[in-house]
Amino acid sequence: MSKSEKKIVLKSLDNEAFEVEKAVALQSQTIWVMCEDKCVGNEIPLENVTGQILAKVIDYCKKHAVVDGDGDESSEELKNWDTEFTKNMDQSTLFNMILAANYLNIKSLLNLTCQAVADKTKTIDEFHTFLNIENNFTPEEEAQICQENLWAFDD
Amino acid sequence: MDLSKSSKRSSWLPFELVEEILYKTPIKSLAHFKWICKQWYALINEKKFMYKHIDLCEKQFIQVHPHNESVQLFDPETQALSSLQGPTNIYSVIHCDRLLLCQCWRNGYTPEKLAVWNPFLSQVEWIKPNNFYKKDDVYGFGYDNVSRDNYKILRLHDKTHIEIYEFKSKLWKSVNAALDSCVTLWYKRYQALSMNGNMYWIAQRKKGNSKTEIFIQSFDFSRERFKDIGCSVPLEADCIVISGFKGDRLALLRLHEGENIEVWVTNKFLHVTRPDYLPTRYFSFPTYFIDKKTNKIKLYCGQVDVKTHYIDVNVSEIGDGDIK
Repeated sequence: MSKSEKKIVLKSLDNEAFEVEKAVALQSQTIWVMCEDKCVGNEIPLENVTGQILAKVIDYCKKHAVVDGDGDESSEELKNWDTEFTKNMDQSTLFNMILAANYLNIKSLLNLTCQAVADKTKTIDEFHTFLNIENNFTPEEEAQICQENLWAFDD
Repeated sequence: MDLSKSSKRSSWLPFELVEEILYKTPIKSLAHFKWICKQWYALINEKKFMYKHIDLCEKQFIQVHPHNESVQLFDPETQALSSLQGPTNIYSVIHCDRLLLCQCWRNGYTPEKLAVWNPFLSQVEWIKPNNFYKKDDVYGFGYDNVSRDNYKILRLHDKTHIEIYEFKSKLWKSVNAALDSCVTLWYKRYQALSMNGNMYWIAQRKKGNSKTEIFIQSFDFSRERFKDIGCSVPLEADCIVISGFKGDRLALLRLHEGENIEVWVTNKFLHVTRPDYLPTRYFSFPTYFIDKKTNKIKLYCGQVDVKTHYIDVNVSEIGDGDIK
């Protein structure tokens, strides 16, 4: 394989181009399928991911890629890196990472980012705000459910 | 009320991704998050969701606090000990699919009571007996292979008088099964296990030559029969604790002063080094589980300060992960 064939260019929604090793990019099942199909050239347009998010995804893939026997980091070390990786991401970045991991079909990144959201989100309000979900219970329904779940300490 | 049909698409995140997040959300938080919207409420209450959540989530230790006799959970990941709000005066707990079957003490003039408690949905159901519950009743909790929803409670009044309560009919019925007369079930805290719908107790059997042996007694809720599972654990032990491994294997852990810890997992025997520090006076038996990822044994001991009632928790990770 010549040197140029080992590299691939990923282009984000906002037209930012990233040149990466093929082995790094192929962790994405979506990209893998695109390359298999040979319907794309050396440049792959990713229409659902912004450059800001794609840069982070590539960081993750670089860390997790096994390139020429270079990927022999201990699993402990990888785990710590993963923790640090998501630690300082704000909620909106995390949700965008989830969407990107899902679109690019990178199972381990999807797991990691979903876990981070699950760990970080503590209140109902946070979900309402970040996911833009509306509480669609009517007061009557809420009362009815409360009634059904009422404590029954005495028989 | 049908909550599954939400009038409005709830957010910009596809629902299957919301589901992925919720599978990873600790059970205590799920109890709050079900109030986010109708769609989430319907999902979190779904049996299928709950079973998968049980399979995926990290294990926690459960204990009954020796002073106020309430149930506490210890999360080894976060090292947090939390109390569950619910029935008190609890004598013993058997858990199955996150439902807790609680045997509650006599309290003043009230007789013994039996509760099935779902701490995460804050629901308690008191099970009425055909006749009074007694302190030395032995219980089992599980389900048959026809329906996982139709939970069943086994009650041994004595070795020949046995009843089963079904959740569907809400009735007790007599069962034509009997425990061998020379068998005694060790029915104390943590010596009973409900796994895959069936019930397992550590038991001892008196043999003809005045010797006694330890074995596992099981009750099969599908066939409504007792079954013996042989094992060769020495009787001399400070304590023997039962647990499950990977959903269908049994494990026994033997702790004895000055000796290495011994663990039997179905088809496997292990000598495990004793951790450097192990409390000698625990208020209840230590509990343990075998981590399904690392295959190491996580042993939990709780020691209680008699003055403050504060619980000092010690979790040791032992073994070298060679359980396969």
